[in-house]
Amino acid sequence: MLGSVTFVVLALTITLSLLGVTSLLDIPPLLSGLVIPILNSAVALFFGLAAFKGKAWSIQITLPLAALALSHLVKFDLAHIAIFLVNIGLAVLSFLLMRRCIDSTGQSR
Amino acid sequence: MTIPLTKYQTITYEIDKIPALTGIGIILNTNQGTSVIRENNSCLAAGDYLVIDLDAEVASQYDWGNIGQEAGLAAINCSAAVIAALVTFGSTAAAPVTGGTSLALTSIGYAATVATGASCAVSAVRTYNAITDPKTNEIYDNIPAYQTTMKVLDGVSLLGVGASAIAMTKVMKIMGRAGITLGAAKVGSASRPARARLAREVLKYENPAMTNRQVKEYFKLGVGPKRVTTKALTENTILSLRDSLAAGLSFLSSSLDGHVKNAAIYIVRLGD
Repeated sequence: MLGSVTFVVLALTITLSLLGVTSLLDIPPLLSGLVIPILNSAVALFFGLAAFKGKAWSIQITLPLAALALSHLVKFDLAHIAIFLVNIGLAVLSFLLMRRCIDSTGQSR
Repeated sequence: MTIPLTKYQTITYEIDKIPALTGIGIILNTNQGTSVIRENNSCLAAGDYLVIDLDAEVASQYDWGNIGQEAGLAAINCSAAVIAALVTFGSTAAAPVTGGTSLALTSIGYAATVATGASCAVSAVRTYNAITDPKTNEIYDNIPAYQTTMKVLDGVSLLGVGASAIAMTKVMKIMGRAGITLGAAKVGSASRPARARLAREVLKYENPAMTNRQVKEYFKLGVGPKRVTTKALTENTILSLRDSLAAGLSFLSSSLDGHVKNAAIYIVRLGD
């Protein structure tokens, strides 16, 4: 259960973090709305499985995600501040879940 | 009633651009009251006033109905992704009841996990768009490539549905032959003789060419365990149920967002 929740939270965090960046750039809609989410899911599965198997390096993906969340603050209105806070919250949650995954695998060994 | 200076300048500039209205008086009539925002100082239209009548309700900046709909679909898709991922993260070990997971089914499991995860991420993108720029979702819906890819994603998710349905049918069939009900398997109350029959049925399922005598010899020689343990039986049954739940949620999300609304579902048996 922990691994699968980590995978989904990580996929959401990566997507939301990249959305801030893609909205700044003039990217074709198919790339930002379809290609990136599908690739995100595969990347999240890769890092999620690595964390589930106890690979400590996988947790490092959460650090740039929190930094990328700042890109939402390009507009300083209620919606963008709320999205920024949700993104930061998801990044912290991904970090905690991945750390727990890595710790629990280490303990079981 | 006062209006900001920049707004005042914009209104008067736009009106004065029209030669016939240059310098005309302006009256602003809104729900909050009426006020003269500029006196008439035109020689051409002396005594004339332009009345700007704003009788509209101030519209909400956000379409909460649309945001709620997109967020609801995202919640369903992401719940399906969590449960679909359970199979990938927790059940790659051999399943004694189903005779182990085949490579094809495992690959379908990974693909379905990525597909449901992608559906979850796409739903998150659509919710983000509904909040920040609702027109983007309309643009997505009008791109044929987007629709096709979503159908492919749904197809892969539904492939997972099919795989889990096949696995569940297989489990139910083998358990039925051994005389074990789903409820008894789930709570671990199946009797010892029933679990021994289950071990025989699993062996026969895996080796259809085996005769009854060979099966008896197999257990007599102690090549494999004489009965399926209660723990393994419960774990496998819960696993199959979780898998079916994930499949059901995937299908629900697909049918709700319109990609499989018009699909006909067939259940076929391709033979044992």
